[in-house]
Amino acid sequence: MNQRLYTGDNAVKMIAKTIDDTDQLYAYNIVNYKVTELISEVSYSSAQKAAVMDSFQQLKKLLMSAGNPMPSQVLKLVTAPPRMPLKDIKDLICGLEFKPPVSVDICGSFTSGLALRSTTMVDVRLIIPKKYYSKKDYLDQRWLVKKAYYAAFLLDYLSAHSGDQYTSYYACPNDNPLDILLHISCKSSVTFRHHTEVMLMRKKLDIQVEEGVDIPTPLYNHVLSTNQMYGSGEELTADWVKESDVIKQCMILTKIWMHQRDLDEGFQCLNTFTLRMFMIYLLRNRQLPYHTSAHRMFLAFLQKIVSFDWTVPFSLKEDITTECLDGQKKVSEIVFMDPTGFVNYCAAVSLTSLDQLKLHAGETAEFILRDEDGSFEDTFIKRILPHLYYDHYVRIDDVSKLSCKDVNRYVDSCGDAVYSCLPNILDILKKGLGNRITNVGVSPVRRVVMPVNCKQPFSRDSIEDMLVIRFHVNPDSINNTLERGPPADDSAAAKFREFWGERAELRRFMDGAICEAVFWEASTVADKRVIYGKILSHLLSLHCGISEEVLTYSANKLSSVLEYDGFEERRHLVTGEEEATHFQSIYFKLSKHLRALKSLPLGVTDVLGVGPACRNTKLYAPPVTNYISSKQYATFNPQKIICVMEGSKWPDSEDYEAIDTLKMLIAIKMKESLNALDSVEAFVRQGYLTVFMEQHQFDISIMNVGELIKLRNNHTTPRLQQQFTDSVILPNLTSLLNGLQSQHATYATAARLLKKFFGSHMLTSLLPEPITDLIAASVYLDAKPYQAPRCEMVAFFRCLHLIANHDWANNPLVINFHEEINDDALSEIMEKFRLHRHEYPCLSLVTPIDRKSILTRPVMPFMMKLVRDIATFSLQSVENVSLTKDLPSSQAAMTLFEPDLSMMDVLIELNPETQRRLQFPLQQDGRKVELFMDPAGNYIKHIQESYSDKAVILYDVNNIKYVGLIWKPGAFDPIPLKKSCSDVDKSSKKLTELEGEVCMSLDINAVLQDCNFVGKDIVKNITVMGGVLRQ
Amino acid sequence: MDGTVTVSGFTVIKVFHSSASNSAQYTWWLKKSNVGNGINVTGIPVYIREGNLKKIFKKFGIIEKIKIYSLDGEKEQSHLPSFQQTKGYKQADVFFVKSSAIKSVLSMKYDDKYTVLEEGSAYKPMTDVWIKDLQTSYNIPTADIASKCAKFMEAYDLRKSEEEKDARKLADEPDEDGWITVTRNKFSHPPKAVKAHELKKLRKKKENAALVHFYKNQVTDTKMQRIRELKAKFEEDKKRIQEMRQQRKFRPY
Repeated sequence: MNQRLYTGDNAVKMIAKTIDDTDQLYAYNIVNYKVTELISEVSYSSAQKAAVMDSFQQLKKLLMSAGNPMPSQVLKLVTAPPRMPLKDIKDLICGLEFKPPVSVDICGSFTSGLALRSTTMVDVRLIIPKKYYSKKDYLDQRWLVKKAYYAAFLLDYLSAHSGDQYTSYYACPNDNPLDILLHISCKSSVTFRHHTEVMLMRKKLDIQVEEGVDIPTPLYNHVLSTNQMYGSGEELTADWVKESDVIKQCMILTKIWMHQRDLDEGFQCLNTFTLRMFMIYLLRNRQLPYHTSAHRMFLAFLQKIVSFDWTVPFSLKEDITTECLDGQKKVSEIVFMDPTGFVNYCAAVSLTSLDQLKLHAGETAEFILRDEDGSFEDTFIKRILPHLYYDHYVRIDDVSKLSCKDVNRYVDSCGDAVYSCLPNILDILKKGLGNRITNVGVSPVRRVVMPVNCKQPFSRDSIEDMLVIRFHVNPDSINNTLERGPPADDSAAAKFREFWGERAELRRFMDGAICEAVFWEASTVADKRVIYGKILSHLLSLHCGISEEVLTYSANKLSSVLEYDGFEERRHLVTGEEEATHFQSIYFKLSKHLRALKSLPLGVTDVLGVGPACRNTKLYAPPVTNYISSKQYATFNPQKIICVMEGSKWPDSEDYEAIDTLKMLIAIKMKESLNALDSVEAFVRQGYLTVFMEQHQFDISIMNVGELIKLRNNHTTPRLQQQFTDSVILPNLTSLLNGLQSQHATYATAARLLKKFFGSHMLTSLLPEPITDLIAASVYLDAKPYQAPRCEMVAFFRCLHLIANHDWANNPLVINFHEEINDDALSEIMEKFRLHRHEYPCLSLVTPIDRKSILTRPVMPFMMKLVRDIATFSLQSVENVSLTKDLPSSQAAMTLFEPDLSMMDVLIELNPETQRRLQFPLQQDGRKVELFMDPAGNYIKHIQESYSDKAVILYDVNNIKYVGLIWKPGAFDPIPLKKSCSDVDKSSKKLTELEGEVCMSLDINAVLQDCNFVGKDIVKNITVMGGVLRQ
Repeated sequence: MDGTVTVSGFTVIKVFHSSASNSAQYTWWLKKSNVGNGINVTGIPVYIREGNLKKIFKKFGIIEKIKIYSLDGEKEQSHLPSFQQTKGYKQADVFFVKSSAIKSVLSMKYDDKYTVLEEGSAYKPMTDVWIKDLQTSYNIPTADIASKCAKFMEAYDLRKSEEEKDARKLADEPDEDGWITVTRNKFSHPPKAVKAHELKKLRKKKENAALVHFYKNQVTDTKMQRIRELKAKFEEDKKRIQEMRQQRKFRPY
């Protein structure tokens, strides 16, 4: 016998197993604990319940004693009837008298204890007297009209008899704009408000799901049958809720989860009620375990939503006939029959919205499986915002002007443009974009609420006059320029031609095939980004008659933000993406040159990039000189590079002078051999080497391998810390971010957008470039509760969201490249952070190489608040950018990038003329070149040197128009002069006397005059803003 | 503040750009300099030239010469290029022909208005200063510096080798008490090092050799210990959740 069979688990393994179990049990308990807390936070307390019941009783009493309303109000309604395809409207309601309802009772989630506080309203059901029914009510939307008029009567009565105790609204929660509800808010003595929904119901009206005489009206039929069978699932729900507390908790969890993701309302959505019935269906068929915790049951439910086959009709009624199911299947995409067998819960649900639900469910389930405890907040507490969730959107304005080709649907929905046109639009969008997109979602059309006295007819589009369709893109194919169709001789070719119209053409492909194809001209990345928009506007105007003016795309906005005038020879706007790639190629060329240098005494082991352009995230600014010829060099924005030399016998690291001398010798040698090459000009500078190559400037410093190793282990003094940042952290960051860039192609542009944002808000001096790069990277590396961004704009918005919402005071932001920091190390870092918070900077970014957040030390605490405020404010306007049509979209996007100059204490406006760099010749070793000097940059440097201890100096690095000064706290406090006074800065100070001692304090007027004098010809205007009064 | 203001030996005066300016740009600090009939002035901005200084001080006596230099004094001569960006403030020494001028200079009044840049007087525009800075930073005489550096390195190498020699010599000589200090340098051949992968193997062997959880009570102890830890963590987390509840962190909307 094999001996291995007898070797059981050894002791160590046994322990590990038990402890794993205990661990899991522990996580399970903690989550349970959280679930209980969450549910107690959202559900009604018994006192609140009683209050609701109390005000309901009052309302009921009032309604049951209803009499005839004032005739004038009815008349007004009759003269302004709801819009509908019905001529004999007056005949229908003439002679109707108002009678109180037969019964009024509470129904829906409130009765079963599933109602959530403050989000859901209390449903109330009214039964209309039999007198109002007539035989032909199933025709021509008559029933809905009657219902609407009954509601109008009711309102008149209420407003006449209750004073201002109730405020009422019409609302239209369902897909049919005529199917209205009343919202009645009660202003009672109770401290909370509750809405009462009045659901009018007809009892025992014997029509089946039946189609009209001329036109099939499935939607109307659905409304009828729902009205008729209203509350059919309630008993069942109550039974199951009684069965186990876990089920009840799970239902509430589902409700919260849907609400946080906006899944519970919107057009053609699967609402909470239907999903609850689906859960009951699963429970009844024993497909969902409930002898477990609510959270685990919720997880199982999510997984079931994803795996369930929704296309096959299913029913809560057990003995339902297949004919009935098949009949339903003909008119709706999903069939889920209620316990009576008459109502299809999913009659109005589209497959698109189901896919949305499935997508969210799948994602959440994945997060929970990965980390049950950690994902709790993402699942239930955080709100999932659509503009951060989806990649792109297309907005259609003026929805009411859409013309629908499907007359049946149009009539069925009473002329609701969204309902009748959307399926067609979605079909075209899906077919046209093909594998460019992975998911489509329609932004929830908000619950339409209209004041009672509104004269306009009911129609969704009269209020929400725009439609926002959002989608996820496939990053590999979204920017494809070519759409390959079927072969020319194929039967599908004609269809393809018809679909694409005149854009379709025959093309020969590499494999020799001649196929139908559509080609979109695009040479730059920016051009490629808008291809999907071109496709949509072409197809939508071709098939749906939607003109280009009413369409808006998110991608168009991006380019206009990054764009600047290119060099004169190119004569068009560029976004800097091609320039970045171009720079990379030059950089690689240079590093090749450096490695190949033969004449050096020591070999070059490595070339490390430090500057942002080396990691592709440099924001290209508008060039100020018009054209820089091959022998002219702009001396701004040099990119730092480190050249690592081999050699073990370097002087000791403490012997700075010897090391610097050796480096200088190498630099001189290097310069000589580089100058021998074409197209490279090298200059020895103080401590480093400046190299000009193809109009780019590189500053090369020299390091030794041993030096770098020592730096890694020891960087305690400020000088060493600076060196560690420059020569270890930043090169490391460069390689990591380049790796990230190859994984996520949109990263670099997202980082550049963020830089542009901080730049235009004049904050770059507070948040240096590496910090911005890291924040952008963190959005990609840890995207929870979303997926990693696939689009630049969304990544940028998420960065803003992160800056505004991260708990910077209590938590560092961990950017865990390649998961290098393991869990143990992470918890250790967190603990250290908590214990020694003051030792960490206010904005702490922890990376595997920089675990103490050395990089972010320069960020000042009191400016951090400003940064967060700006991010929060901008984020709020982001929502408006996508949802307002007042501004043209590119302009709306630009408003995000406009600084708030009023926050400055002193504002210095610079002369636009001085943006031009001064040109002067330079000669070194017999070579002659032209250099440019940047007056504005030097001016700012001067101000920084003079006043940086007293004020924060803000300016836009990329486009210096203004320089702003914000005084630091205590900038004007007098400093007592002690014995040594020669080291005290003496500029713009005045002497004052404080308690008999001679003190020195800052003199504002002197500061202003100094700024003005030094900036002669540079400064246009200096304004002292209101903030100066703070002193 | 009336009259002459003296703060720890310095006389403080207010200096204005022009008579039109209504508030002082600078406070200059005056002191008798260490050599000759000189006055040391600190707090001079970079764009001030000798001529501007003369304007203020000529009324106290005939000026022999004026020397402006940067605040931290002359740097010691080095073989490395010691160029520095023009920034901050400078000092000046104003030498008078007669020593009597010094007394009157040092009694200059704080409230008096001294102007340096009246109409027509020459000063260095900042752009010129910046361009000159940039030019100097590019114009480093490489040939000169290379030879100086090479010399320095030669000297450095020589010094190092001598230091080493001295150390060796010292190593062989007994000190006053008759002891010979043995330094690391003595071992020209250190004992054969264990190679890394061998070391790993050795360590692993050692680990396996140790009797982990040999006795049953050890097993139980570890288990109990771990469970205790977990329990403690659970209690801690419970406390945290209580805190979160108080901060209404569980409120979803």
